[in-house]
Amino acid sequence: MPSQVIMRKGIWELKADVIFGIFNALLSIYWITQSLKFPGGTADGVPGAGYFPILVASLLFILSIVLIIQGSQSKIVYFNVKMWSKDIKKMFLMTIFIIVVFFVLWYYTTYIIACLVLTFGLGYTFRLSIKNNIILSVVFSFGTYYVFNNLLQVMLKLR
Amino acid sequence: MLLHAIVQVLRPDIFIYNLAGVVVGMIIGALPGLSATMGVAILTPLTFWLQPAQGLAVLLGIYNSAIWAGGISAILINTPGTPASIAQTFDGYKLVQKGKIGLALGINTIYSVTGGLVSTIFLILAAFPIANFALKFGPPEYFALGIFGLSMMISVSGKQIVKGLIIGVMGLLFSTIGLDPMFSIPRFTFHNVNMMNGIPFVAAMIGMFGIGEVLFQITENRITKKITLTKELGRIFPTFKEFKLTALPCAISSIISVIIGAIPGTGGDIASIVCWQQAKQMSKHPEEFGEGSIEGLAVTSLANNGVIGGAMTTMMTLGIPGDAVTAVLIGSLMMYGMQPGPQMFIEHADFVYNIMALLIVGNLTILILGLLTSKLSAYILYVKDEVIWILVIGFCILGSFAINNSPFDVMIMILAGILGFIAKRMDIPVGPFILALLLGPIVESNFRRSLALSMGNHLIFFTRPISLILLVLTILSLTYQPVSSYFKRKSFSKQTQ
Repeated sequence: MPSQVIMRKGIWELKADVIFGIFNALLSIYWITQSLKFPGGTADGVPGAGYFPILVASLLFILSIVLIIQGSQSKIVYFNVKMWSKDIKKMFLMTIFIIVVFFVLWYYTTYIIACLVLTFGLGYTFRLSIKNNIILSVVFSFGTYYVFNNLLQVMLKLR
Repeated sequence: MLLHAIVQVLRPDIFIYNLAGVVVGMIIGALPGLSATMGVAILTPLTFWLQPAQGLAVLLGIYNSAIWAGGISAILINTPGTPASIAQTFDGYKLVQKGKIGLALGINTIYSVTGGLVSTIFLILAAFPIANFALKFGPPEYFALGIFGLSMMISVSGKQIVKGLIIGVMGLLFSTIGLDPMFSIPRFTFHNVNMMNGIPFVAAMIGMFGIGEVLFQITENRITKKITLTKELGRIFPTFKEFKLTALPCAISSIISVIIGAIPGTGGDIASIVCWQQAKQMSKHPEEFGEGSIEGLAVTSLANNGVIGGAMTTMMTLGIPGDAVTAVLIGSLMMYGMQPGPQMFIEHADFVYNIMALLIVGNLTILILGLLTSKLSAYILYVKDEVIWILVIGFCILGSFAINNSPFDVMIMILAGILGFIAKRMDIPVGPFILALLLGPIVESNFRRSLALSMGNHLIFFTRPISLILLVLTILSLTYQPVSSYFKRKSFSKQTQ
């Protein structure tokens, strides 16, 4: 179970349940409006392409409203970012940033270069020792390239 | 047929893949935070190039082994390696504190394997009759079965029943993306060719269980307890007296765990706690439970692997997963071109026997490996979380890309990872989402086929006995939790007045 904090919510803390409920409510409305455009069912009783999505989206809408009501009454804060230490925030954001950089590099250069940056960057972020980091990056990047590209014939190229 | 299958899986290539799966599962299971579900999810795409028997040898090796190895960290550092090994902390860690490290690890191995073998025997005996019965199912029954399976996974969401329902229904909603199963009309594809076949579920499950878990662990700032192996292991095997002491509670626990395993949505964690309580009630020394009881550790070790056969039975015969790992295994089987359900017993009977044989051989491999590497296995706990995170991220990216050579799948994997992270932080189980994604097309197509059969009459679901029973069970499973907690609250408020 995640480390939840039960406290009074400030304006800066995310009311996660409410936001998740609103997101799902909007999603279900979109689904219903789009489904109404699909062709209808046949004369022998087979429902059309939009029938099931509308049914499911309606159920999701009802549940979202229940969650919004429950969430607005709840004092549990799931994403109390203020309580995350600087290190955690840095690690979290760096992990996402490095994954994005990996994709850019993979697209414009080669898999090995991108993978070396990914593994070394993550190792640096997670504070592995330089020696261990270099060993892990090199072994993982070249090892996976050899296995996937040469043995499994997976073309590790994006373009 | 089974003997032939055993000979088949003892072929060097399949046996080596199974052994590799057992070793990988041992590492995954022993490391707190990594679960069998995550292991099977991440390794699924990497086995895509293997023959189905070889691939399943790896995955079933991981499944069995990770559940067993979860007990290693539960016993040594009082932190369950997988959710299934929670109850092993009750007595296992106390035994270690008493200096009986070897005995605790030995009991974990011997009784886990016993549980695994007993439940495999159940699978062998029950699977074909159940599959034969399920052959009578028509579209209304399959629709009701799909809904029932989904409801069971949602109902174990505990207090978070609304959230469990939302994530399950969300999965159903996303399962409607792609071509309509009856008329092949594109739905919610945004004119993107990649979306025509729907959300790639392997990529989604890798993201949710892999990337989502890593991001969650980063923000949790977990302090993993590490051990220093200064003490001697001592004896590994229980004495004859200890075996005799555990015989009856273990016999009862094996039945309980198989039954619990067969109920969709449950798992080793529930089974081992139930068996521990049962053994405590039966024991002549209940005061020893929680203080290092050999009976207590034996039944919990037996129970967590004892659910596997039951869970596999439900998954293979009905296509409904018994637990989160079998939900992922459905995806793996579908990747190999198999559709779990009664038809698999007719069209791929050899393959079904291979699965049974793999479970037997996998358990025996665990027994030998576990007893030989008792001391070594403890060293797995020295692997740093950070190294695991890097490897998981790397393999998630590679695994999701490799199946279709598609960057689109990687993108879906990352998005699923972010959704998995959000869900995990909000205490929402992600199992129902993946299950709904898998079951969605089955539920929808059978729903519409049923209505076609009945000329649009919805009563068809209530006029056929099996379908009606399954729908009643669905309502019961969804209402049991809120109703029982309402009555508990009511009786508690009466007591306090």
